[in-house]
Amino acid sequence: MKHKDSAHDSAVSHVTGRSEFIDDRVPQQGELYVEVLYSSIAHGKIEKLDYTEALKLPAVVAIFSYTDLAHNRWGSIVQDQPILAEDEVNYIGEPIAVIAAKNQQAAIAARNKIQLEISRRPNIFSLTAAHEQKHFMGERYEISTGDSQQAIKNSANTLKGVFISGGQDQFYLESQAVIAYPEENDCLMIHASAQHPTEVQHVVAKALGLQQQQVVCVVKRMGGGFGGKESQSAHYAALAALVAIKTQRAARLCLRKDDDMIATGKRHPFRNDYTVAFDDTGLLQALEVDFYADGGAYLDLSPAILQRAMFHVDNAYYLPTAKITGTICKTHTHPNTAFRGFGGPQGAAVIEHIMEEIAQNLGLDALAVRKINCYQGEDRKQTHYGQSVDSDILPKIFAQLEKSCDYQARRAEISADNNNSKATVRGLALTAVKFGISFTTRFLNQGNALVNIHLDGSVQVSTGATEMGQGVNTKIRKVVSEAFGISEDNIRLMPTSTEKNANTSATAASSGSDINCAAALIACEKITQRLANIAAQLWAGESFDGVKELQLDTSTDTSMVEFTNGQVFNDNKQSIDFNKLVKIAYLNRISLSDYGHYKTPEIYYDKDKGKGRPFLYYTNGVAASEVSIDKYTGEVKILRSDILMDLGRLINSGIDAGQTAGGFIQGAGWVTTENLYYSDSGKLVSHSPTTYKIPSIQDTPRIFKLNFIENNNNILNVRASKAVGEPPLLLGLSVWAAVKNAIYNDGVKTTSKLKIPATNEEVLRVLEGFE
Amino acid sequence: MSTERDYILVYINSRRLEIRTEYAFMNLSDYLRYEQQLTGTKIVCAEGDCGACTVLSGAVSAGKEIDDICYRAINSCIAPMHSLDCCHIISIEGLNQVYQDKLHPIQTSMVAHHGTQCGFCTPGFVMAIAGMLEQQKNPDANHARNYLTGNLCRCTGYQSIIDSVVDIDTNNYQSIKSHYHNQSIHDELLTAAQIPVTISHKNISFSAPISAAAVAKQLKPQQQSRNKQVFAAATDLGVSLNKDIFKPQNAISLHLIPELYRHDISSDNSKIGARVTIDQIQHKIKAQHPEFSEFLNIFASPQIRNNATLVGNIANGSPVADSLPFLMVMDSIIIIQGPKGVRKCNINQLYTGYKQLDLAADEFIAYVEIPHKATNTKLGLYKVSQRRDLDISCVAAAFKLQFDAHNALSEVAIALGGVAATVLRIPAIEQQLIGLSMAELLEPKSCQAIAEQISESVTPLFDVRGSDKFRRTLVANLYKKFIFELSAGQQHEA
Ligand SMILES: Cc1cc2nc3c(=O)[nH]c(=O)nc-3n(C[C@H](O)[C@H](O)[C@H](O)COP(=O)(O)OP(=O)(O)OC[C@H]3O[C@@H](n4cnc5c(N)ncnc54)[C@H](O)[C@@H]3O)c2cc1C
Ligand code: FES
Ligand code: FES
Repeated sequence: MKHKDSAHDSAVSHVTGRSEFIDDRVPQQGELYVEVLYSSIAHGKIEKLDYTEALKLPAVVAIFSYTDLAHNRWGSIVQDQPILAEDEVNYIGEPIAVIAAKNQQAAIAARNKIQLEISRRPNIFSLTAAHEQKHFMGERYEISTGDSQQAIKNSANTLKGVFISGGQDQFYLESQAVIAYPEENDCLMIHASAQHPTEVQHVVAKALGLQQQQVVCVVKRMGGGFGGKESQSAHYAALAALVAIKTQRAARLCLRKDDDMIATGKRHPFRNDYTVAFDDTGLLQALEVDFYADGGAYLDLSPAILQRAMFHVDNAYYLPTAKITGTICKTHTHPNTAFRGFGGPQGAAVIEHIMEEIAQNLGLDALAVRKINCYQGEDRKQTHYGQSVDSDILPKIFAQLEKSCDYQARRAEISADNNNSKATVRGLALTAVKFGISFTTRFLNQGNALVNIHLDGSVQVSTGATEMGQGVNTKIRKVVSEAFGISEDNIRLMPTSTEKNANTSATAASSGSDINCAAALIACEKITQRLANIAAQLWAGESFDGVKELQLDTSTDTSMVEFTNGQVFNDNKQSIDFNKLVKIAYLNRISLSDYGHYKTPEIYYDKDKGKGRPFLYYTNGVAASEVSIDKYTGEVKILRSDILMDLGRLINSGIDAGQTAGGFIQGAGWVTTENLYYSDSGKLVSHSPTTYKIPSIQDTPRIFKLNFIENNNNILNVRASKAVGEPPLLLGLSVWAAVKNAIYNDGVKTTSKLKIPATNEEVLRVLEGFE
Repeated sequence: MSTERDYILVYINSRRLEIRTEYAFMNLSDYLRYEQQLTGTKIVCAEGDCGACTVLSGAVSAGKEIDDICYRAINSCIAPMHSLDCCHIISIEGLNQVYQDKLHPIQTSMVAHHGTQCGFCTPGFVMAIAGMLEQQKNPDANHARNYLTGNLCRCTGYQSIIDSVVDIDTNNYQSIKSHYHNQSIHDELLTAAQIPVTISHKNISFSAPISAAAVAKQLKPQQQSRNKQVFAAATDLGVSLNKDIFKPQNAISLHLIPELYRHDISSDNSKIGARVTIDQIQHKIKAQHPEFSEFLNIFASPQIRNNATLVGNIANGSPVADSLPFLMVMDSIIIIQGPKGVRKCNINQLYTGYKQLDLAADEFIAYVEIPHKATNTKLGLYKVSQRRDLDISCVAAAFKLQFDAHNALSEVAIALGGVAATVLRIPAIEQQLIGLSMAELLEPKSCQAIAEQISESVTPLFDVRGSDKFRRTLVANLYKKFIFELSAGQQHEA
């Protein structure tokens, strides 16, 4: 699809290979190569760490351990994680020492020469083991509504089960990468591939005993983030910063893919123990789910991720009564962390699994079950945490997609066809997403922007949003261009820097564009108000002769002033060039720069009561996927997917389409081929693309249709748009549900054991019933 | 003319370079990024599995005319510089130069279709698409899929990349070869290709003799076989060097030996030299072995197939080497060159253990001969991997059934990969099938019984690619699938 909206603001430099990523930066004189010595034991006591021999190697400059840090704990929510292990290690990949050398070979040689002895301690790897041994961490959460126990007792049908969803590696192409540059007076300039420059700044400062004002973190772009660089980049930044401050030389730490995958956190695997009650039409009466999330060794973002899973267990469906609990398991693996969807996909997976189960148990079409359960009408619009789903969008998009994808006819055709003896069997499923937009921690929902107009009328914009390919800068540029009425070509989005935008939140929770566009707009409006004021005075006959100075006059009526096409107009057809007005404003000493601060309105949540309005609004969507399974090998092929999204009023359709397609395929990967495989000693074995299989270009649906509904009603958000980053990922569940449906269509008695991911092996296991 | 070179000769974006000493042992991707400051080429996996490092290579060898040269996509991350002797390498910066200040049509299309998001995979995609256009002037969506299985993108979900390819303004497209490969460069590389090379640096060395006999002479019998290593395109070698950085290498390259580039088809077999690539075989062997040609579509990626050799696959000897089940059921003949001449060995006798070959320290493989199929032969080739494309097999299987004039089975061969330390033949079951008629073979009960026997005859490992049970189920099921397809084919013919 060719799009009328502008290309990504880095598109040209991307396609020519001129875009600069961290490791593309020209090395400074004396710059050091940093290598991390990490634990190869999942749980143990460090008996010996001796690097005297390693330090003797000619090109090795320094080696540091935790004793060199001023403060050795970090963590986004709770500071429970050592930056460098002290006397204990808790996962394979946990950093123990950092090596600084003149080149890679020397650093690796030094790493191999370090004498490290770790005595093993008992370990827990699986969710099942942690669950059995009650090896938990953090708080336990509960959200409930109505009397679910009574509803279960009264109900005609109940199902009980355990449903498992596996982890997923972010597999951003650019692995964790950071360069720390020392500056005078113990200051540091950090260039990182990170979604949260403010956290990088804060973690680095604290670790090294510096004030926050001594550390600046700059993020120009990332070669992908997907949540994996939300918290954990700060950890590696601290290691590079330690080298830079101690050696007073630039320090470059770029992980190799294998090390990145072994050491850094992933999407949380979940074990979900559920009981569901429903009537004979499939209408839900009660849902009880106990979520157990595999947090790994430290808390990281797990509490917030678990909460989001609990918020999204309803997905698009009304729960008359519910009791949802959440517990974090502590295991001896990498601390699990954010990944697009942030627990939402794991929560929604449970109920989409249940929808298929109900349908199979009652002999109904799963779409019929979904449609009667979906939020609709006045009585069935309140979520289990008390927020209202205040629109009838879901039933509308269900109906629209059912029709446009020709669901019923294809269902009939598939049923007829599956009766033939064939090597393949097909399945079809239509699933939905209703994704809550906002950070569930209220104070994170703020952002700021700095807008500078230069004297030629061109503009630089700086915000706290980080660009990881998702196009946030392109959207901000568009919004600013509309505010000033000037061409997008005259606007440049600057690298994100904590020096210009302080105390920002991670670019996450799909809210990067919402918050930062809104903040930029506030800044723009402050400036346009001043410019309009000057313009109105000029039109009213004030002349600018260089002697008299124009002043902002609050009594001037600027309500009719418009900025379009490089011109500033009023309703009297009077106009002035934007550039000219800028120049005049400057000569009259009117500021051409401003700063905007935005906070998301109306949101609150009481986690003790489990009630509130945690989200500003919901992004909705539906997807229908058809798959075929090779009955002999379990191989899955996606034949067709149709997606329909409600993204409000689109800011840039090309970017939104890209986010939708990309998120969907990532979701499809999570539920099919992406399998994290650990050895008995707890080491990730699938630690590179040789063994960890994200979708390839052949794994996309043969027919792929993507559409948006028209919706201009989301006035709560900037330009009535809606966030797009995470929601489409959840639609990948349509592929999984279609696989489940295909297995069922093959005559298998129960598909309740089918896990995520439905790898070939998993599919064949359920088809053939081997354990 | 000098008698020996102590450098390798490459052109990079039309710049002539003589690469000596330690630089000859670097990877091309590192060399581009860190020695030439050409940072458009990205490194993600350093093992050939993502395509971010894709560049084009125009390889010249003795006897090749300009018309024989094709600029093809390869993975620069696993290409040691020495493996690029007599090549012209084009990186993304070289592609940019073709259109100077403007964008190349591929680039224009990717910009217009939002074919890039974070941009990290993008230069690799652009180069892979450029490589496709050298061969496929008007690509459609299927071409895009087939030529881009070697490139991973985590952001776009690929749809916008497919759209970009379909919409390339091919009228304005200037081929990389026509821009970069002129007569003088060609002649110079051709001249160099006739001069042997020796490069040593500390404990590592590289040499490229110009005849097979000279290679055998350099391989001293008393030396351990892995100490000096004959290699072909280095796709396996490159990975093992990257993942085990300090492994000393004393590499002997076959790239200056003209006859090893030959693929000759006689009345009863195809004789394929040690430097013939998988891609070349895939095209050339289509008439004799359409099943194998088709099967090679899911062998690695275009970047690997463009470069890797079949003999390298044989010599590497992995139990999941995809060509082996086929070569074994065909009773292919391995032609081995030693100091005293050549000997022949049936491939079924070649492997003695996990990656162990019956090959003396001073021998190497010069050719493989693949017999043509006898009439009335049914061949089934299967590979099951976690992902269909660019993945290593969990299990691979080849079934060959030869029927006599009375439609009874006269010869049966079954080879299974991924279920033991070597690719396995199962003679007991093969023997049992001989004499059966087609109808008996297709009979469901006997099919089930044989499938179960096949499954019981293997004791596979449980590893990252699949459990033992999965593998055992698969070998049985692949047999059933083969029989199912046979029966479907019968019905079709009837
Ligand atoms: C990303 C990637 C994907 C891959 N996918 C597949 C796949 O799908 N299926 C599959 O089967 N393989 C796959 N491989 C493996 C590999 O590409 C093949 O084994 C290839 O055929 C090797 O050819 P080469 O010319 O590159 O061999 P080289 O790397 O040059 O050599 C391979 C080995 O054989 C030895 N050798 C080479 N030539 C000779 C000779 N003439 N005489 C004696 N010894 C010799 C070398 O010393 C070395 O040990 C993949 C590899 C990579 C990197
Ligand atoms: S870097 Fe991944 S293929 Fe070369
Ligand atoms: S654009 Fe980010 S990986 Fe392809």
